[in-house]
Formats: sequence, structure tokens, C-alpha cells
Amino acid sequence: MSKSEQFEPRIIAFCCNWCGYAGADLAGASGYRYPANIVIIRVMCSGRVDPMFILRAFQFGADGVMVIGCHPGDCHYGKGNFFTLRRVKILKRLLEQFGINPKRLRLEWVSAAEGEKFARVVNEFVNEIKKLGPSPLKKR
Amino acid sequence: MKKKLAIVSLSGICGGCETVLGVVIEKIEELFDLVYAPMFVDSQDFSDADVFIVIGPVETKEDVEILEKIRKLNKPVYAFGTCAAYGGIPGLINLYGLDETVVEIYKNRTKSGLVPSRDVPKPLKFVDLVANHVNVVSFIPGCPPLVDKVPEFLEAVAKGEKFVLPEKSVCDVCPLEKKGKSEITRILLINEVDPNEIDWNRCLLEQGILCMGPATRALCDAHCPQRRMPCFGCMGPISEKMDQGASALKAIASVLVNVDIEEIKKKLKDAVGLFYKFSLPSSILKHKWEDTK
Ligand code: SF4
Ligand code: FES
Repeated sequence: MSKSEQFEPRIIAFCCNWCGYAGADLAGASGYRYPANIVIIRVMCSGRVDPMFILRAFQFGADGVMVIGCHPGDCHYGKGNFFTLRRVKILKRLLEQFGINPKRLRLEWVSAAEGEKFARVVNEFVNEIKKLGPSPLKKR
Repeated sequence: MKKKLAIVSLSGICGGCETVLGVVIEKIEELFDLVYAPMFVDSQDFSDADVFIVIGPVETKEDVEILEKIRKLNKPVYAFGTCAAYGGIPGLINLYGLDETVVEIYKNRTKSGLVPSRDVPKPLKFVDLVANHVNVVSFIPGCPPLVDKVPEFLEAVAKGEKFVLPEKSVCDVCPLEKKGKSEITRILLINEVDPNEIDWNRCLLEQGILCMGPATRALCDAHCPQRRMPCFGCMGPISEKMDQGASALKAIASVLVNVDIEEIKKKLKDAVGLFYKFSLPSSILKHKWEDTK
């Protein structure tokens, strides 16, 4: 147990500009706390997140990857997040076949008004990754 | 003076690439002095060769030693075929590892159940690429490479130049009609297709048949889609910087936007086998990993 307490995961979060990122902004502005393990990368739409970005994040040692977009139907560009949903579902299966725990990849819908939800899902995810331990791809 | 050519085959080969080289043997004779090629000439030694063509993926300690010898000779090396360039079909072993595969094939699937151990080269842990062991000038992909492209490649080898590959996808050269919009609500693997129900003059992916065309390099003039087979991806990724599986996944998931997620999950159970059939060892994740459950 003590080992997993020391372990501080590195997590990449791809947030779409219109919802996820605005949600993160609101979480900060309204004083919700969330762990510093998460590195946010702003993209215009969650549909911009190429599966390669996610694989590269794992390759360079990320312990977990989050993709945060608008709620289904609310995407600023129409259908972007439907693409993302399907990509992430297939990617999870891909990771599983590669022997990487699919829980390390997570897709969440956070709207611009949900600062509280943003802080909550990030907290949850960080705790889950802490339980899973470091990624096997991490160079030791 | 003709250059002295050595054609070196590593252990994972199927013979397809050599057959293609056999078809163009006159061109080889015209351009080179063939000093080493177990398939065509009787000689044991490649140490006086000026240029090398390597075929096959790196699977055993012996392969590593051969490549080490080639490297010490300090001569230009060219890779021939998808196995040498990207790992090829044998690369799928990386989902299990070579040790496990040897046990599965020889122990669990034969009557005698004996794993050969004497006088056989030791397998590596995972299938590897030629380019990870020697400096490769350039390569020609294909499983096997198309006969009409090989003479051009051989000329590049003779001149010591790079063989320039197109950075286009199979879709770019595929003559099937694309409407650009897909309303499909199903996925079909090629073994589930009813040939009478499909319009064979229209893009197969737009009709729900999984096709690797959007993620595969166009060195084949789209032979398969024109002959009622979807693209399987044998030419590897479109460019060196791309991951074939990731680009296929991206394109295919976008086409499936109206398909039910449960069906996607069911049909794409073997996602790696579909998307990385020919390029697993050159992909970003490369091989299986040990993660906590
Ligand atoms: S997806 Fe396949 S059938 Fe459709 S255009 Fe591309 S290569 Fe041709
Ligand atoms: S803009 Fe937020 S998911 Fe597309």
C-alpha cells in the first residue's frame, strides 16, 4: 500500500476548447481542488484527438490519458464527439490486446458549466491510476 | 563494373519475396553480380559483396548475428518486403512473444509435443525490424512487393540511391466510386459478406466492409479493392511517421459514426489483428506489455 501512496502518476488530459477546457477553467475559478498530476492539453474539439496522440502519450510514459469533450449532441462542430466516442471504444480494446489496462484511458463529458464535475472526474481518475500503479511503458 | 549483390534472407520468411526476385532474375543479372543468394546461387559467403538486400523479420539470435556481420562490412543495406520493413505477418507474434508461440505451436499443437531445442537458433523475445540492427538506406514494402515495381527498386539499389515511395493512401488511387458520405449502420468482415448484396463498383468501406485503404501506402495500384477484396494493409503505413493502426482506427471509427457501439465492440474484438496485420513491430506500442490487472 505504501508504495502506491508514493507513486505520483502523470496524466495527460485532452480537453476540447468549448466544454472540457472551459469546465477546467470554471473549476479553477470556483476554487474546486484537483490534483496536479494532470497535464491539460487544449484541443479545439475532442474529435481532433488523433488515436496516435493517445498512443504517443502512452509511449512517452503517461500513466493515464483522459479525453474530455462536450456532452453528446453539444459538440461545437456537430459530430466531433461521436467520432471520439467510437475511437476511444476501439482504442480501449486495442490497449487491452497490447496488455495495457484499458482503464488507463478514459473519456468523459464535461460541459462548460460543470466545474465541479471536472474536479470530481479528475480526482476519481487520478485515484484509479494510483491504484493501478505505473504504466508498463514507463522507462525505469 | 557491376556491383556485387548479396540477397540475405532471415529466418521468418515465407518465400514470397524470393519468388518475386526470381521473376525478375534477368534484371538482377543485368544490373548486378550475384555473389550470395541461397535461393539462386551456390555460395556460402557474403563478405565480398558491395550491396545487400535483406528479406524477412528479425526473429532469432542467428538473425541478429547475421545482421551484425553485415553491419561490420559497412556496405549499403536495402530492405525488401513488408517483413523487413515493418515486421509483416510474423510480427503478429508480438502479441504473445516468441517463446510462448514456439511452445504453443510445437508443444500444444503437435502429436509428439516436443519443442525442438538442439541445433535450432534461439528465438528473441519479440519480432524486431531490420532497421533496428543495421542502417537501412531504403526499402520497398509489399507482401510481396509488386513485380512491376521491383525493377525500379533494383535500379535504385544499383545506383546506391534511395527508392522514393509515394506518400499517398490506397484510397487515393482506388478507382471505386466514393460518395464521400456514409450512412452505414453495420460492419461487415470480409467473411460475412454476401457478394450479391454489395455494389462492387462503390467504395467498400462506405458499404460497411472493413477496408484498410485509408491507412495504407499506395504502392499497389489498389489491386485488391478492384478484385472484390478489401485492402488488408500489406504495404504498411502511408509514411514513416505514421502508425498504421492508429490511422486506420481514426478513419474507420469516423465512418462508423452511425453504427451501434455494441456492434463495434463485438466485430472489432481483434482490433490489433485487423489494424496491425502487417506492421505490429513498427507500431508505437510494438508488442504486448505486462500491466496490473
Ligand atoms: S476504403 Fe477501400 S474500397 Fe474504399 S476507396 Fe479506400 S481502398 Fe477503395
Ligand atoms: S467541441 Fe467539444 S467535443 Fe467537439
